[in-house]
Amino acid sequence: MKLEVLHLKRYYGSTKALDDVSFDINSGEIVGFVGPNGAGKTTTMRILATLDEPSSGDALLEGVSLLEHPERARAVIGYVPDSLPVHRDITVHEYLDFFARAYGVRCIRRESLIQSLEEFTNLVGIREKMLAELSKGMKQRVSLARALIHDPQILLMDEPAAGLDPRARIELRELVKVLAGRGKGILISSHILTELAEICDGALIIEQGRLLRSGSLGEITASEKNWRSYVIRVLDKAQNLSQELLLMRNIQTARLVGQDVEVDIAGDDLVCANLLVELVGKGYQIIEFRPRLSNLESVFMHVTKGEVQ
Amino acid sequence: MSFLTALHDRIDDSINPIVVKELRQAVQGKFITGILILFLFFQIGTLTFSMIDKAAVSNFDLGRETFIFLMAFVLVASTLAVPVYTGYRFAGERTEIESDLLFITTITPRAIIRGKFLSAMALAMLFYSASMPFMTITYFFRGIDLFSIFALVVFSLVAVCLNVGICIFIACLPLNFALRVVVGLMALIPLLWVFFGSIALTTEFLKMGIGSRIFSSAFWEDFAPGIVLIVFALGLLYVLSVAAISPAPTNRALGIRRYITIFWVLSLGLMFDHTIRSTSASILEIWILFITVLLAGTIPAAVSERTCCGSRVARTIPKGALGRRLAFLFYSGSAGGIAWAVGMILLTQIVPHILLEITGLRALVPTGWSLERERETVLTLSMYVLGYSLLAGFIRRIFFGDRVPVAFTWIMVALVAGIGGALPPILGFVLFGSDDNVWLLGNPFLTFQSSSWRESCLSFSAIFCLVALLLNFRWLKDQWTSFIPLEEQTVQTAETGQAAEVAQASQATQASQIPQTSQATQAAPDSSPLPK
Repeated sequence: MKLEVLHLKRYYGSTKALDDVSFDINSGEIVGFVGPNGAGKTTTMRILATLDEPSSGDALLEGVSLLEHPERARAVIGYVPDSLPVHRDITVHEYLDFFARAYGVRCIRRESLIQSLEEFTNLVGIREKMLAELSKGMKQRVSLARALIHDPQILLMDEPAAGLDPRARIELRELVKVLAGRGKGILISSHILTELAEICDGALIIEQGRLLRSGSLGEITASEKNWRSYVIRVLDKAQNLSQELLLMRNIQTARLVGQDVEVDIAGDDLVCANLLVELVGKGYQIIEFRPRLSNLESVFMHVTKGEVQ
Repeated sequence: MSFLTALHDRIDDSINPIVVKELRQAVQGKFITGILILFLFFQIGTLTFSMIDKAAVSNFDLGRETFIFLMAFVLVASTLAVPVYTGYRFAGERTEIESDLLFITTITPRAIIRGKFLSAMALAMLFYSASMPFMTITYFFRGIDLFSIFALVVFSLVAVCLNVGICIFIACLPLNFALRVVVGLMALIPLLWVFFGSIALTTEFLKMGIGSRIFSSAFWEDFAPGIVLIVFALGLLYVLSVAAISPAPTNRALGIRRYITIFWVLSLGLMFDHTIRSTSASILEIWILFITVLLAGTIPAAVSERTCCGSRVARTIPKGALGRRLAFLFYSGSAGGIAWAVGMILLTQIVPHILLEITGLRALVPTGWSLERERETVLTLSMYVLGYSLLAGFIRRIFFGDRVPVAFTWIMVALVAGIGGALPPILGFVLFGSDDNVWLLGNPFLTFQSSSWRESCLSFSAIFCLVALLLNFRWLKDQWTSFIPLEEQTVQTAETGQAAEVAQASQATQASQIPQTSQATQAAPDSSPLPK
């Protein structure tokens, strides 16, 4: 199954929430959707989940327009919103049962379906617990189970890791990997770029409604080959180093942060290696020379300006 | 066994999921259980007190008196506790995200409202069924017959329906917490009105001996207008609630306008039939007043609607000229809503006259309508509402733009009307030293003052409406011209796009002739229409 997003535009009054956003997601692919707050991630996801409609543009599921046939889209798209379920006086099992009924799952297979989802999302032990008593991590798993109840082929996950503890985040990450392994196309937005970089095949970087970069992780990082951000730690003379770096070739910025010097280098890996040699040659006792950000973080920081509309 | 299983599965599949969820939540929650225990305690207490009372031996109205007490408890539980509980719960779930989750399932807004309503009624029936044995026992206390007991129980359910409908509607309103609390407190007025009205009606019905009168046609004829009104109110609450929870891109107004129009036709028929049979046009006059007020109330809501429909709605616009015109009136949209309301008000004023002429019943109103004064008043007020609504819409667009969302234009209508009533006399006095009555004409309430004021207000409001319509003419016309099926929009966009491409190509050619300019590198202006 292929989801093609074509030239989506969304205006709120004179504000452009989305400005000509195009990308596609295929079965079994995990695509990270990153951008500052207010960049248009949730708007895009809401449009793809048929909860909102674009001012122009369209999204096609196997060539079928989401705008023209939202009901068909709902049958194959699962949506995990950025907030957790708030229903009171209802157990996990009853909550899932309710959504199974709402999706029109027949009585004859409802119970077995819910049971298998509870097993998959590790909810069996808490199925009779009240939803309100659950921790964020557990609620997030319930939310995921709910989104999977109609066996969607495309899964939209809006900030699913927000507010989760490390263990819950790791568990969620593993579940996402398993789902992709089962052939589901997943669009996942998150602010934790290191984690996204670990599980995603591709990424979309969006800011102020405009898609700044899209493609596979390799393509995106390759496009930013001429820029690196490094942390340099020296035994002493850190202050001198930061000042000297500013005078050197290929150095964009250098700043002293505690005992470290953070430096932005205009150039590829070879330029970085040469810089290291040069600094050693100048007598700096370097004990650490490492990339400051992961590839995705690095690209993100470089291409976005942190501006909101 | 397999047949029974299949039957069970079939029934289970056909049950509204909302009902299942709500009842499960009610069973597991403490509120309903607590109220039920308290309710049973009061029922048993009342019955015990009636039985041990020594004066009861000589009291031949004991059954009736006890029944009223028991009915009061049932009504407290069913017309107050259950509706408030349902509304409170629903409002809590009406966070954007919970509603969203429902909308991406196959469940429809109609099914959601029906489910909420049915589950509330099921809870109310729980209280009724718990109370029925006690109520039936009052028959043995003398002073009441079994038929009256059952008839009153059935009638009281109407009050339950009304209050449940009111609470669900308020829960559906897209308000923040503070506003919701204010509106919720205000809603106590109709809720308590229905509750006390039900108690009063129960007492009155028992006094008149409802058990014996229920089969007489005179009884039903007297109550027919009231029944029509209650049925209308219930239906209106339903369509309003559905519209309130429907997602923004949907055609929210269609259901409401269609419902009011159908009610208009049916109620006019019923009222006309009543007029013929009773040979009195008074009910028809009251109908004109009621419908005019109702339709005028929709105008501020109409100016608060969007001005252009999204592609999902545009897809359903009929291609034929007549279908498109009708759709314009009924579909969500500001101009269409205003045109529909004004058209319906005009029809309300004209059609009864025509019907009386056609049927030869003009003699019923030989010297004009007996409620002519009231009719003029209502018509004048409607014109004020139209004028201020259009003016507020104009002010919002010109001076506030995006800073005041379209959905809040109705608040501006109230503000503009307030300013329109209060400011001119002050300005007249301060700037011109004049305290002439003409400065007061912006105040619609002067219509109630006297017949001379009413006439002045009628003339002023007519001119005011005309001016407001002229001010908004282009805005209204633009909405009509942009109200076209999606396919035609696509063709127009393509043509606009081609034109833009030609313009861009021409610009690029010019730029290539003058290489120093940067025109060629400029993007063509965005041709997509911005929502107004």
